[in-house]
Amino acid sequence: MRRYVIPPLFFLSAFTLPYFILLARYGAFLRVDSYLLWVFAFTGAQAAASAALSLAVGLALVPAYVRFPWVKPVTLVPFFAPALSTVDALIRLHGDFMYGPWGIVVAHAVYYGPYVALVVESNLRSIPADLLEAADLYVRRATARLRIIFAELRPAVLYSFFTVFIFSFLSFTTPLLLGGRYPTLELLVYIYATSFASTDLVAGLVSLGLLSSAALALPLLRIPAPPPAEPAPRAPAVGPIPAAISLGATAYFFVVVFHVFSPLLAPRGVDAMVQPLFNSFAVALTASAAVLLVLLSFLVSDSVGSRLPALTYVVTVSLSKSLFALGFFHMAQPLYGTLLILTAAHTLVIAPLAYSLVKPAWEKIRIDAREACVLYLGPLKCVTRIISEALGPTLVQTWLVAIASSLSETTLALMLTTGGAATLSAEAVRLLTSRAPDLVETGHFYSAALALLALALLAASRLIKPRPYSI
Amino acid sequence: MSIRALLAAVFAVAVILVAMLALQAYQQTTEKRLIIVGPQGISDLGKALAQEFSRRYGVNATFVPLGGAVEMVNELVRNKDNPPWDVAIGIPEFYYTVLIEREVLYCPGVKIDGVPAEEYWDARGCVYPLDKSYIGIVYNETALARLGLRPPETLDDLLRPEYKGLVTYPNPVTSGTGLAVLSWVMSVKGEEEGWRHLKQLAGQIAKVGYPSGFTATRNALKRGDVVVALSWFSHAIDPGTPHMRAATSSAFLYREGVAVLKNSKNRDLAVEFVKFALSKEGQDLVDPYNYMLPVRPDAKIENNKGLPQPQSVVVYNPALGSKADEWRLRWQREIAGG
Repeated sequence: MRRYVIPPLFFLSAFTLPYFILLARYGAFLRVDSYLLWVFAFTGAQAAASAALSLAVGLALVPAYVRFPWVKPVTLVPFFAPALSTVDALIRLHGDFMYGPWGIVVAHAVYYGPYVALVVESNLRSIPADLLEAADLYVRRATARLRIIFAELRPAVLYSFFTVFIFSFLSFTTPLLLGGRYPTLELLVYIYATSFASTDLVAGLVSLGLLSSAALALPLLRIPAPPPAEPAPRAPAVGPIPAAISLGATAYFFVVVFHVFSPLLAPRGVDAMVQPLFNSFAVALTASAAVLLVLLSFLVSDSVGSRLPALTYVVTVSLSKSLFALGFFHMAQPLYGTLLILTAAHTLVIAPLAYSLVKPAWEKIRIDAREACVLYLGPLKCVTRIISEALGPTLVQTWLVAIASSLSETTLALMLTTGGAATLSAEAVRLLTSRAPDLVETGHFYSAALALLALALLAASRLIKPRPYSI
Repeated sequence: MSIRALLAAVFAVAVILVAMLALQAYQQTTEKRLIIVGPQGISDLGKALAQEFSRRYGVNATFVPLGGAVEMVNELVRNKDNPPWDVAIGIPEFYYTVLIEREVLYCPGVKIDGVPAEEYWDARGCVYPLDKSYIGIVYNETALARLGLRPPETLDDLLRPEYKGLVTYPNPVTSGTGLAVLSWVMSVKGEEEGWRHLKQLAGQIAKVGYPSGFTATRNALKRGDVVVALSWFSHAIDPGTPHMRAATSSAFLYREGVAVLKNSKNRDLAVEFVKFALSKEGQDLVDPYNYMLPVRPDAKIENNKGLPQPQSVVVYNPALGSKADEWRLRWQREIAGG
């Protein structure tokens, strides 16, 4: 059975090797100056403020999610669109305010607020109906009723607060597009590694980045996941005032979504877009296929009871992508500037995310059915012949999500292919950060086109007819 | 269609694409062709030189644009062990020593007839002079007249309240033009006073902020989003920016060069390219394609006949060479970061 553990073990080694290369190259010393401390403090402070504001926005959206479920797809557009498209839309909507210290917090709240609402709504729907009825019958004061409901929502609140904190702490594209005046640690790694490659400034960031990642990962292991989204027999009642306030918050998201797509009305630089678009799709199609292969190998490993794939997910979720990109650059430098290096990097980064999407569906297959399949066919044949069919729709959905994720990726493209083959997302970032009016306007169009492509793929993934095991 | 058939199709397409990408990568790393890298702003000249060199020598030469000049130098350092390029053009005089210190360049030590000795600025013979021009104060004459403002003449004039929100210069973290501005200000005012000046100037910057390089600055000037810039005198003769004029009291002499990369896969061909770029034929392309002054006196000059001439010229002080990264870092933290 050991041989089935080799693929995830190999994957984990390939994923962590860039970090070891960085440690070997730059040493494991903390070299901290006052500016670095300021950036570290700002990164943590903005992540905490982003998590708090996202929670507030999420809670404000929940009544609308419950009463008017049709608003969900619209409010989730900023979350599922590439970060650069949402930030670009917010800059056009709010102007210079976005370049201030609160710009990054607002941007994060707009991405993650709807995600928080989704997690909280799912938790809300899992509250037993008899508890809600008892509260309605026996608790007179509204504040006391709210206290009871919030006590039940605690897992969702804690989980979403902490995950948003991690996402915001590791933010890269948002501070980059907001002018770099208030950088996060992730952005500083990129600036030091590229614009200041002539110095060894990045060396001081390696240990700090890795320690931060470890500090973020540990609590994630301890916080319990919120209850799954099981529709309650009856939706919790939402009064007219909370519903009206919530609809007001929803209206803001409609405006943001309009700004995400409005540049499509004025196409620019279409000819110059063809090559980056082709490059993006070439990388996305190859990386997503490789992701499926990794995924199947993880399921084979899962089928023999290995915990390695799950461990891989936990290890990868909170690690710094900028440091990964820098280490990967040193590891595969002879391929610098080519699409092949980008394909390999995308595969490593996206595979754990894809696994996290398939894993719940895999666990819904009855354990005796899985065991019988493995016993009679062996792990490999069981997964490739039976499980792949059983999880078929989920695999196709995951494949589409992997393509969308690859199309949206910017950190790896900027670190690995500058001066070589450009992708659409990297080209959009280059144009949007040029500060040249004409180029910025072309960048608006590219970012809107990218959002349209990514969201079309995600929408297509929702059209696939699910089976009981689907995500 | 069964899921397994669909997966098979996905993998088949991926295999074909991977084969294509691998072939591209293989060609990039092994094919006998010359890859010339240079800043985005020098693209027209880079392409013209590559095309003419290919025609004359019967080889396949390609130009690859890479951000601003400073960004390019840093990418050359980052990729020094295995560069995907062979030769670099547009290396600024005030930011080339880092390439020598980091052993990025090959120093062929060839002598090229026809280029005056005073044009050579790298005594080690690693970077060869390619072209030169002036960086100074340029302004949109029509826009200033519309605002009822007198054109600025000196760096201090830019701090006057009436220019608030009208001025810009490129970002020195990535742009050669931006770093030239820093070098100019520090040369003219000294370091302490220079930083004080830059901090005050930060309050005068236009809404577009600090453009990423020459192309972005030219674009902002062309659109009228910026009225006054610390940038190239060539804007005043560029038909794309017809209302621009230059304040001629003082200017900084910007000189840029061409060099062979030490770990180039086509080093001999790269040396031939350097010789070609400095030949009469190569230098004849400088004025029409780059709006710069060639370093050969016998090269053709058409566009630059009308180039404004500064009354005093500030030349780069090599003693300040090692300060460039320190300045860029300080600018990033104190000026860009507020």
